[in-house]
Amino acid sequence: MADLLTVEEMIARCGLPAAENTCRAVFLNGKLVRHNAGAAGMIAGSFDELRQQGERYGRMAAEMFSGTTLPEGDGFFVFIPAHAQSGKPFQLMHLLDGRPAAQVRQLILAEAGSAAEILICNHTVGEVPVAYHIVTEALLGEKASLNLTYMQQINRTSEVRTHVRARQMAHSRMNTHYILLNGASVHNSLHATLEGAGAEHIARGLSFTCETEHIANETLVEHAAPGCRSHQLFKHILSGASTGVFSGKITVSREAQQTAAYQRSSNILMDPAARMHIRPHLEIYADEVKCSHGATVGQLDAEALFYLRSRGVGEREARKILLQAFAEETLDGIGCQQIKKEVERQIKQKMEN
Amino acid sequence: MLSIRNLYASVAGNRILKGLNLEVKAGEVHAVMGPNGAGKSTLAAVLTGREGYEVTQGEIFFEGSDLLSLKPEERAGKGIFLSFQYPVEIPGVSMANFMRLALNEQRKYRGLPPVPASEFLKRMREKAALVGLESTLINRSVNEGFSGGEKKRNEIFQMAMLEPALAILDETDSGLDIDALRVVANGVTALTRPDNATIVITHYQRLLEYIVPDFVHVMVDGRIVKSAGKELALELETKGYEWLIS
Repeated sequence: MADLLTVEEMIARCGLPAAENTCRAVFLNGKLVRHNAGAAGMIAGSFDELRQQGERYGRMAAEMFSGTTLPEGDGFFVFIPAHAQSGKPFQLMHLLDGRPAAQVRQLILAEAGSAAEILICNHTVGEVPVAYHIVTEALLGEKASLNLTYMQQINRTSEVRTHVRARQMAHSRMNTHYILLNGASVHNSLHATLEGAGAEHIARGLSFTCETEHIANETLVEHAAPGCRSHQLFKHILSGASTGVFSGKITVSREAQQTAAYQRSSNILMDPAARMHIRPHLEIYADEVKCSHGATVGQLDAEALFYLRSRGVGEREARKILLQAFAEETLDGIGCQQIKKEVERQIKQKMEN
Repeated sequence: MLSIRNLYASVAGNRILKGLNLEVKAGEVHAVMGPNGAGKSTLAAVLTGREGYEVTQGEIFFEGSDLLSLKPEERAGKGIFLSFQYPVEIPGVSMANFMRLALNEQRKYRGLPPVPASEFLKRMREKAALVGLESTLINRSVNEGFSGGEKKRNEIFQMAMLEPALAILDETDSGLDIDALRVVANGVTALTRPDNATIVITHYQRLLEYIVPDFVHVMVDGRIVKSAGKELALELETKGYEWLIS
């Protein structure tokens, strides 16, 4: 059935934005099949296109690989020039229809003072098992701001691994969001380094898993400069016999005085067979540091449930409200209302089932 | 309106209610008093259908229907309201949304259409003023960060919004200073009508100076051992419960 769907039909399934105001690149099994130029001031394209652009982009991209040259093979880049403020989100849409394992590499270069919002979503088409690996490298210049949202809509037989490597210069701000609503096995790994003073990284994750699905969120936030701030908030709602892992690490180097770094993982087990594993990990070498971690695993609050029901709200609706309220906090910081609304809609839909 | 006959109930295997009888008619205010552990809050829990309370004997009829066969939300639909002794904080759920949903779900149960948004907002403002609830609290999450007094006012605010047929106030006076107590009590009094009824559960006579009951019942060890008019509350105030135990 998958073969019969055109790219257009697959795109339509994503539910996100009406075509006319979305900037989007579409990949099929890791191959770029189309893209438009990107939002105002943004430049996007394949690595081949990047090479053809000549020196300027080539040099900047080279910076991202710590002195190495552009990688062999193809991938996709998004370049946000200095001080460009892109009002529209850029969507990197990955459609997977069941070829053998595929991988793709994406580069995001946000120059000084720029601001952008990027959505990466993975969709499987049909029920064929797929294995997919996405590497995203982001370099944020001074005072650059980047929101990166990852959404997974993959079938119950597929595996996706994502890796985000972010380097942040002074006073840059980055928000990452990991949303998982469907996926047999998803492993997200985030490695962010706050290299310049006053940089900030906020990472949030939300997953709903059921049956035998598995989610792992693994983070490493390195504080390598003074006065930086980081916050990690990961929530998992696990039903059936699904399993979750949150392994979060913060390192604070000797130079990184006045660091504020927090980490929290809250989890709800809906069924007795569901499992959550949490491993907080702090490594601190500086003195003036505020650091904390916290983790909770529990069930839906029975008192709150009764309170709602005693006011006339049916049990099913009451559960939905409490789960939504639990999830809400993880969506803070998604700047683009279009994306936030769509995520909220999909969460609602997920809870209906 | 409410008829409780020979009610026995247990919690985790402990027998708490042991043959309780109570009749409440429309237009009446009943006070249920008694020492700690008498089963007052258990009575409230059984009436509202809280989980973990097992009725082993007896029956409860509310306006002709068998209350014990109904879910908590259905009881609310029938017009039963509990002012919680310990109101629950629900972060992430706004008071306004909660009230609109609760009101409309109850109306749906009664076969009525939802309240239009403008009318709902007007009603919220009026009822908040009635119980002296700061309007800013209505925009916050349910009970989140509310002081003890604000939580109790919020319970009465919800009661005002939902206009129940039978309101059960479980220790609504606890944690209130005298000014807050007066405001809350006046709110409750303003809500009494010939077609609704109120059960006030309390330790102390203090609240009954403001909410004047038609009947006072003393509960001891899971049963009502004495019922009389409002003067009984005063008698309890001076003599305590000792003389009724034995």
